[in-house]
Amino acid sequence: MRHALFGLSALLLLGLAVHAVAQSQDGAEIAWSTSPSSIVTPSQNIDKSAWESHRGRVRTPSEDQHLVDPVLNGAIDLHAHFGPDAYSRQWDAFEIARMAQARGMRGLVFKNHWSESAGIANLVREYAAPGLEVFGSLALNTPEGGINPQAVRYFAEVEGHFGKVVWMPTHDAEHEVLSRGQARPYVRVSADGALLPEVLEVLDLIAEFRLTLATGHVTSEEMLMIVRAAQRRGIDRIIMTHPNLGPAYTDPNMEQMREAIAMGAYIEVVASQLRRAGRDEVIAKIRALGPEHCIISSDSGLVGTPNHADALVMAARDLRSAGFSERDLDLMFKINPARVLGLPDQLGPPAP
Amino acid sequence: MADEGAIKSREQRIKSLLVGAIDLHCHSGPSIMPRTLDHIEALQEASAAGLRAVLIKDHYYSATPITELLNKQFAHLGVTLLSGVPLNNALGGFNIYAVDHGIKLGARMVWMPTFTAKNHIEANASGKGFPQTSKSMLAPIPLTVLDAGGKLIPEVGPILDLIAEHDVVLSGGHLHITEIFPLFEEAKRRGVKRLLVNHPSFLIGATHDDIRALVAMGSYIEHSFCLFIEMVGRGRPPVFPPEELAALITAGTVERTILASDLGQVGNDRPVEGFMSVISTCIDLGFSDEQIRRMISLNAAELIGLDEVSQGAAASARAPG
Repeated sequence: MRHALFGLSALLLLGLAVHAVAQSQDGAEIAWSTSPSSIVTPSQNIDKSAWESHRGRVRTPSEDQHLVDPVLNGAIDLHAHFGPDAYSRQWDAFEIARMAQARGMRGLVFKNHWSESAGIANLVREYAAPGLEVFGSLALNTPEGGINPQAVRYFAEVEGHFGKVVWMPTHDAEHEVLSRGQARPYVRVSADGALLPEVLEVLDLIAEFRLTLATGHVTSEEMLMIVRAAQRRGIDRIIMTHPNLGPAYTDPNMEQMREAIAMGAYIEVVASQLRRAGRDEVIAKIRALGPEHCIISSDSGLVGTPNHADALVMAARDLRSAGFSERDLDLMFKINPARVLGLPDQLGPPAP
Repeated sequence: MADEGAIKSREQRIKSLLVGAIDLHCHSGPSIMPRTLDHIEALQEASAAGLRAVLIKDHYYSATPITELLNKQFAHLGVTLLSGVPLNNALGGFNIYAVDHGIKLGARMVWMPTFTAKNHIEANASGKGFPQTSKSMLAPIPLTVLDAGGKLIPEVGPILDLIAEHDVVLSGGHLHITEIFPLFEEAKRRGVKRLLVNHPSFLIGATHDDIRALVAMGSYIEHSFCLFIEMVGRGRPPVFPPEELAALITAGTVERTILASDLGQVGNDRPVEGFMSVISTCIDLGFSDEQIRRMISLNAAELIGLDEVSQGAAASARAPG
């Protein structure tokens, strides 16, 4: 099985089995005018989908540690996974919002890889945690039609206008799928060294509707092309999605990160990066790049991970003991997240 | 006094028929269209009236993550929320991955294109007067299941396979009846068992003979009853006379007809109010309680496989993790 997979992925990497024109499962060529044009389906879809490839991972739920820390007062978590989802999440959107509010946080951006959450953000604000600044996001993976301008235009218009962050492809990004050696549908953002026209149309919409761009799990070169094109359109709310979390994600070098920062991008560091091998390197990079350009988010939600507030507190304590000041922490947990969402600076929780 | 007694017993008759009703076509919000109630209000009002289930339909998004969330958070209300995947441009059109993900989360219906169906766009251009979004959206890419030669386009086949494999409902959406017939034939060939045509007399272009033919194929016929009732709130008479509804029911048979609200638009009556009106209309048309129950509840439950859904939900609640 492993060999078969490797063989196929090698073919994919060599471009032998993949064409710009995809094929349907029964082998017929698809005319893409009425269906997603940025999605490529391998001739043999062995791994089916990113959530299928997650199947069978069973974990013990984590305990709420009720960690208390001033860093939570006014914090905004830009990367809050929630249920329901196609793989198991420990808490649903209502539970996470209530927990965040009880812990003094200012806001959350709900992240799901497969479906947008602008409507859920609206309902959560009204029924679960009034006063918490909750936003939805949209990740341009296969279930949303890949790089789909129509999805972005819809997302910008959902009642309440709480749809805020648009992620370029994440788990379905060509880079992630091929670098994991998987044979499953993926979303391209570029071909022959240039961004697809659909990507530019999506960036036009992000600029027009003042949304926030997150770069997703693309290659470092693609990430830079996206940030350059965004900057040309005047987009000043850009998150570079967790660089250096691993080779299947965007894995830029310092020079590439500095180039993106110079164009206004914030570097996202997810809490788990501070609690695993390589943490010293991550801390050194934050120091070198400057806390004024970095954002800490939880990326929590999977069964077994610390809850979102606990994860942020643990990250803050790690950074504090590494020598970062309270001002640095305010920047990375409160001020920069607010700015990248276009919200006013505010250091404490919202007034009751 | 006798009149008062008669009114009271009629009210009671209507209210008792409401208990157990299923609305397969509820347009609650949030949405990009102006909606008079949100999904939670729809759920609360359905619960207060004793409805059994409500299927949320949004033209732009797959609402299943929301219905699953609310089924958990509002389980005490005792109403099952359902939804499905609308194959319009916002989800990538004929996007099998949207269908796959929707089904994974519990979607029970796949709508062929509605607002971005070629048929819908053309009918709207000629002034059919469908509700509009609050602001103008990107120009739609018109979707049809047929190629220039009248054959089904290849994207559709694998989507039908997935619908068959998971035994969910295929709705014809806003496709024209001339598209629905070849689509349903292919769907049946591939093993799809649950077929639905929405408002065949409106926009779809189906005649009474077409409705008979659809029923003969095994399809259920859903009429949007908002078209056949008075809008009490704004004193607007029915768009089409109740006698037309009676004729449509005769064509499609009580055994295969589903009456669903298609309500939720700002200015229109709320779905539960609409149900009371349509039950009253059906009583006036001479339908028995048993026949009315078929059309507002039992047929919908059979089409959607609601008893199986409930069992599935109970099973997954027991399953570890």
